[in-house]
Amino acid sequence: MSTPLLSMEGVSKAYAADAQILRDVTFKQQANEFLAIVGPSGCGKTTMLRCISALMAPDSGVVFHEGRTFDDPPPWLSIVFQDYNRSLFPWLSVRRNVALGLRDVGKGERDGRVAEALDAVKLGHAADLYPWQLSGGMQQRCALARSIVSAPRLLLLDEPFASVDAQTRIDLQDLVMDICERMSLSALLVTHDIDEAVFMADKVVVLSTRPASVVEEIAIDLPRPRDQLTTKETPEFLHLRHKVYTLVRQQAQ
Amino acid sequence: MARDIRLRALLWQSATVILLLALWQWAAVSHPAPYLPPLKPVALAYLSLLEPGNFLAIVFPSLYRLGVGFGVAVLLGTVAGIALGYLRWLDPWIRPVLEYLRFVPTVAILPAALLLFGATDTMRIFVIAFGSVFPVLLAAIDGARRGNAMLLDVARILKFSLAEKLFRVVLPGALPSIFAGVRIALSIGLVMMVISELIAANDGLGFYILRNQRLFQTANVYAGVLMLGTIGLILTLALLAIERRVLAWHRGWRGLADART
Repeated sequence: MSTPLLSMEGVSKAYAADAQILRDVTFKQQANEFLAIVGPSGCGKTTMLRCISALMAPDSGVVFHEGRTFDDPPPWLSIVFQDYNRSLFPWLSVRRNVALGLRDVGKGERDGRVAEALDAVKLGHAADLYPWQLSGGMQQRCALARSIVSAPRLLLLDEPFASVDAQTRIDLQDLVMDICERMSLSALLVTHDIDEAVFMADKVVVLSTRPASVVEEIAIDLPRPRDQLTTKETPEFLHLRHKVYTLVRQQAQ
Repeated sequence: MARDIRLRALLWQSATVILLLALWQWAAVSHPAPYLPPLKPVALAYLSLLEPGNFLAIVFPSLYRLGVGFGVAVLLGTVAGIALGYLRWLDPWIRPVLEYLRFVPTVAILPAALLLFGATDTMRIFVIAFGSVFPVLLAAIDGARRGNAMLLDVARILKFSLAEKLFRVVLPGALPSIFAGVRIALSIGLVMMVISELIAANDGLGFYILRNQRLFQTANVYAGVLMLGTIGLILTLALLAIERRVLAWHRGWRGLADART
């Protein structure tokens, strides 16, 4: 079996002696796999994401990216944060925000790929606007464009749809799945929304309450492409949703 | 609509100025005294300051010192402030010294500066820079520190170098704060410019005002003071114009935040 794209091995993290966040978190993600991590709110998902991205070092355990460890974020990794409001550079236009995601190529190529990324997130018409002139969903699409413009191998999504309205959330879910499929990106989605996790992922990792550890990994073998209506009406979807929901609820009790 | 309001404000402002000038003229005419000349000689003295020869000999030296001193203060204050605000571990080392120095009345530095540099341009530029650097420095530190931590995470993921983090993330984020500091620094710089020219000088507006006071050329004294006001006004307007351009994004951002609350 090939080296996994991401491998968490016994990762623990505590902010203080009595504030352990992660305890012995272990799971693997294969290339081209869409992984979703769900858990009760406040269980330490964001801390885990910071450990995965090497923005933060775990107290013990190891995070392997393609079999190697990193002190700084691996160059092939990108993140979309929940807080689009604060993750875009407010003093740069949409185009220049996206261009920051792609800095080591010549100007001609960069312009082309930035335009491509903007088209992919349907933001080509807004390239010269500034973040404050965009709606929440558009800001998040801008952040998404910045994350995919470098064609990353691993796209981390930190509750990226949590701060937008329901209709925008559905549109963004479809958009992200579509982009991952077309660019054959591997994505790791952290979310508290069980429907979203089951609908989007190939595998769902369920976390316990704080300190978080892996309770169970559930393979989601629903066929693709998935549809917001028809997929969510299939007995298989309902069954998986039920299973994950039960596990998460057990944790919360 | 907005134009109407602006026009009306302009009318009121002009009316106030005219009223004050009329009051001055009335006082000067009804109570003639050598220390309060009527408007006409003051206006003539003011205009003569703008003649090329006088401008070069009296106004320009002041502007030059202010320009260099204030420029150094803004540059130094910004760069040092950004670095100190970002490199938090430096704080315990630097902070006590800064807090101490900022409370030294800048005027008191004048005799020491005179000893250090002599009665030179360097001394005056130093005094102006010393006086105006602290508001910029403290504002830059504050702005850099209150900056958006998430953008620094983004910068790490995007592989920014230290210089890029400082000048493309921390600096733009701190600019609104820095501009507030620069505006305060400008008024302090103007004061320090005049004061530095009151001691052992032979040109500049401060020197001009002091000498004419001693010669009882009162119209010239008032003309010099009015010229100082003009310089302050023009520089402030220029600063606001720059700020409006550079911080357009910030006004949009803030306007949006206001609209949401």
